[in-house]
Amino acid sequence: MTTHPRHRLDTVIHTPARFSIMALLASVERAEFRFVRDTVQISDSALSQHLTTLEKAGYITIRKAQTGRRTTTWLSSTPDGRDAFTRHLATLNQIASQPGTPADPPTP
Amino acid sequence: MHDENEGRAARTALAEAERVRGRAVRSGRWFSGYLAALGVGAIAWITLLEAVWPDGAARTYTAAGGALAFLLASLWAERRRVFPAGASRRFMISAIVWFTLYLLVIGPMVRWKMETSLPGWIAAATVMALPFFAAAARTARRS
Repeated sequence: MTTHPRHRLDTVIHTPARFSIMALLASVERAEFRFVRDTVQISDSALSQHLTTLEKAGYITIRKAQTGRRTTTWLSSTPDGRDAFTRHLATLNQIASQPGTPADPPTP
Repeated sequence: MHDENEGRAARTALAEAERVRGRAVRSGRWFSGYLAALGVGAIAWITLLEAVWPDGAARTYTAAGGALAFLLASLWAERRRVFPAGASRRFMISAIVWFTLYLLVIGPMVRWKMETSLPGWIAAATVMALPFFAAAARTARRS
C-alpha cells in the first residue's frame, strides 16, 4: 500500500509562518531579522518563537553581530534545514500535481 | 474533495514560497554591484599605487586611503539586510585570487618588465580584478 504524500510533509516546516521563513532562508546566505519579519509579515515575538522552534530542529542558525552601535540578528538556514525544505517542497509539488486536484479556476 | 483541498493548499504554499524567494533574491541584488565596484576600486587603487605615485609619501597615503576605502565598503555591506546565496564564498575567492595575483604573479612581473608604465598597470590591474567581475556576473545571473 502506498502512503499519501501528506505523511511525508515535515511537521516543523508545515506551519505557514515557518514554511515562509524557511522558503526565505533557503534562498539566501543570510538575512536580517527585520527583513524576515517584514517579508513574512508577522510580529517580532511570533517570529522569535518560530525561530526558536526551527533552531531547536537544527534547521537554522541565529547569530548576533555588532555593527557600530547597532546589534544585528542574522538568520541563515543550515544544510539540514535546506535539505528538509527541499524535501517538503517536493512533497507539496507532488500533492499539488496529484490527479483529482484541479488547479484553481482563474479569477475574473 | 479532501484531496482537492489539499491540492489547493499545496499550490497556495508553493505560490507563497515563490513570493518570498523572489523578494529575498531581489533584495540580494546589491551584492553583484558591490563586487563590480570592488573590482573597479581595485583597478584604480593598484594603478595609483604602482604607476601614478609609485614612491614616497604619496604611495603610503594612497595605500592607506585604499585600505580605508575597502574597510568602509565592507562596513557598508554589513549594513545590508540580505546576503545572496554563496556571497561570502564568492567574495573570499575573488579577494584571495586578486591578492595572490598582485603579490606573487602579475604584480612582480609587471613591476619587472614595465616598471611604472601607466597603460601597463591599467591592463595588469584590470586582469587582476577579473575575479571580482566574474563573481559579480555569476551573482547577477543567479538573481
